[in-house]
Amino acid sequence: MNTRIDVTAAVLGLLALLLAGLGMWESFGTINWSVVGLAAPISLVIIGLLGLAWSKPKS
Amino acid sequence: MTNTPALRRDRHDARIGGVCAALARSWGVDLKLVRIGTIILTVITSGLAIAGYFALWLLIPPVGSDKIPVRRWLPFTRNWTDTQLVVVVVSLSIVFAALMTGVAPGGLVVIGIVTLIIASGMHRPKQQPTTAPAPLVRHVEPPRTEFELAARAWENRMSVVYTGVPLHLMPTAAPSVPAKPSGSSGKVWFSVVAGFGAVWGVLYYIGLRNAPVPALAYASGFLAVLGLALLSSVRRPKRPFGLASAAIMTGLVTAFMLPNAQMIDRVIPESSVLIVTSEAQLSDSMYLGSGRNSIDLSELELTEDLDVTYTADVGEITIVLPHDVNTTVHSFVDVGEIVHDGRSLKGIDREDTLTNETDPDAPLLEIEIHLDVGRIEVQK
Repeated sequence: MNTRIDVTAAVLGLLALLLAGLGMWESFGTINWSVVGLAAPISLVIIGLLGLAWSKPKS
Repeated sequence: MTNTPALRRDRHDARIGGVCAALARSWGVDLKLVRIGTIILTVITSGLAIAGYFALWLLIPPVGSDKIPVRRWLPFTRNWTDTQLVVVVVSLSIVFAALMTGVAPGGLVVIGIVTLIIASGMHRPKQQPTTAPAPLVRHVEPPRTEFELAARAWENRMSVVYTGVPLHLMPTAAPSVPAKPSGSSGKVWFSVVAGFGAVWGVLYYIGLRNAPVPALAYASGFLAVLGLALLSSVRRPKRPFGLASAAIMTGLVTAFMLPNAQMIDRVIPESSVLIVTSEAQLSDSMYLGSGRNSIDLSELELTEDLDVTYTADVGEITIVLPHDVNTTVHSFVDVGEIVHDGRSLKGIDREDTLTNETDPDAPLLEIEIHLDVGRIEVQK
């Protein structure tokens, strides 16, 4: 397959899922902000790197 | 590695000065990502990134030129070396930004590092073309038959020949048949509507069986559906119309509804603890400002009915009700949570009333609490 990935849609989708998960956690439980404080930056770094990798032109 | 193109600003891709477009092309990443990154950097550095942007705008030459713009406008800089020029422009930008925003040097370091990294990529050697230019003949419709495919390949080949491109640079592979769109954006939106319905139904069922489901759960559920729809459409030739905008708007609403007491605990320090034991200590109206406020009325003794109003901007208000006084508490919160005797109500524009009648002959204390953002907790 040579189809390019819509990087903006992919990154937005992943961010939306993360935020939705946080909202569900808060709705049906109590958010552990120390976990979020660790997981959020790691997730953002991973998603950012994925975005960079996907947007690299294929040779 | 010198395969990446030199930094050059292109007016055709520019929104402001073409800096983001130049970075995106040089780094080989999506232009939208660079623009989003610039906006985020601007926000987290309190606007300092704007200074970095203008520094780059002054330093990056336009397409088709090797002349640094600032040298054209300031002739006395033409004798300076590139390094001297970069250092002076970055330093002046940082000083100007610091004076304008008053931000600590931490943000300045970010801009300095970013600017120097970019500056180091300004003078990469120009690359000679190693592939043929794109064919001049373009068709909107995909080829329908093998014959049409072959005819178009020949047409492209001839068009390249007519432009004078050497034979060894001509494309050898036949153009591939474009992938057919895997469906219209309408289908994705139908799926989203079905997903919304499913989320709504599940949450309604949970609400019937257990405690009421907060509005945040609905917003999060809808956001999850939109996120999944976006992920499922990443290989489509065209993004479904309005899907990204809808996800951003729903995400903002969800993020707006998230603040709760625990988050406030982390960002707002304890500000006051008020212990009220007599009527003289009570005023009709009290403004609490922002912070965590505890008002202990447990030892209060009243001789007559009394109305009290507490108003606050951001934070937490905890009120402990008196034992031997009839009380009615009306709580209003714009964004956040109301907890009345263990009963929680979260969301936007929430209000709740708690009545505690211990003795019909005892005086009544009526309390009204208004909070913009945060948590109100009333304990019996």
